[in-house]
Amino acid sequence: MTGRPRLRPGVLWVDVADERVGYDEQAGRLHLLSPVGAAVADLLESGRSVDEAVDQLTGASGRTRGEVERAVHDVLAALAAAGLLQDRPGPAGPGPGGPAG
Amino acid sequence: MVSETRDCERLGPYLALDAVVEVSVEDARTAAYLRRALSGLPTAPAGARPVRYALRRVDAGHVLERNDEPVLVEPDRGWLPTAYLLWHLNRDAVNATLPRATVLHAAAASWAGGTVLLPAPMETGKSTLVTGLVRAGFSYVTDEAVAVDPATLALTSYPKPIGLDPGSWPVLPDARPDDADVLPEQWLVAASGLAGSGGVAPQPVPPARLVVLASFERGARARLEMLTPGAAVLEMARSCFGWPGTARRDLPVLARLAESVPSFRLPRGDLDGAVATLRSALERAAA
Repeated sequence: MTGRPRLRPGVLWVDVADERVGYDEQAGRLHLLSPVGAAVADLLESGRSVDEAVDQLTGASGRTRGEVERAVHDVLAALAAAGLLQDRPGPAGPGPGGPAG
Repeated sequence: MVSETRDCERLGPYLALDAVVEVSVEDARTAAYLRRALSGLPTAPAGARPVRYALRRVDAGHVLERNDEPVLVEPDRGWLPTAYLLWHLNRDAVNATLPRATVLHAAAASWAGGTVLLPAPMETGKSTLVTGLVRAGFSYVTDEAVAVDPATLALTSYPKPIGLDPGSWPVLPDARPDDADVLPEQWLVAASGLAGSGGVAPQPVPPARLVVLASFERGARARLEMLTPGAAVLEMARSCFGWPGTARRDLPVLARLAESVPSFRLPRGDLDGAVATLRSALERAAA
């Protein structure tokens, strides 16, 4: 997934330590984001693109860019599958580290 | 509803969470049963306007009235209105409290200056577990609902009678009320009357020190499995009364609770093992 996906409105989010819990008011579902998921969600909310989020998390985590990129894409895929992203993914094209793992 | 005017025994007014309730009972034996069972509820402050329940006998059968309106007329099973009374009392208690506080569907008991919250859906054994805790010396907070103040996380108890269903009876035979036939499908147990009881928790209720999601697993050795705070919020949200209408207020409250109190799963088999595990955990939390 590339571009600037955004969290869908209509979900109540609350930070809990380094995780996040969301309540989707339309679907009546609760969601739990892991610390990685919460960090990605924070960056998306602050307007970062996927690439920018990967860059920032790579710098902060000490992991390789490829590892971080796979983790971010996993999070985005999970958010998309749960219907928590506002936009559909942008034009196809693997990110700098290859397709989401 | 036309009912004969007979002498009734008046019980209460009691404080049931934020609700004030009063019960008039025509049948002397039922009145004695309920007086004992409801004895853990605090006395309501003077002047509060109560929800008035009445258990009467009329030509059509046995009646439960709420604020002078019939809510159940049962021709045969004289005990059924008493069972419905408890259901309505729980509902009134929760509804009166929801505007002020987050209300968790949970059992709770206090030990060593702290309280363990046991959120759980119905029919998961929380009344059994809290009975085991109380007869081991814990103070009883509730087997049904506990209110959490959104600003301070202070707890409000709801020490209603513990309701034990038939599945619990073989595990807790000593809890059987002497007059159990008054309500043949459930034992209503006054916590302070249990052998070894730690009584009813004092006011203010000791602060929450543990959140434990207990589940019965036949043959399982009791063990605490740590939950992340986020997972604890998820589970507690599923046990919130008033959800989803209260979600905006209650999610941040649950988050603060989960950040300040450790949370665990407790798969449990035997009751005594679970009680010992929780006692040790509360003592560690208090240390």
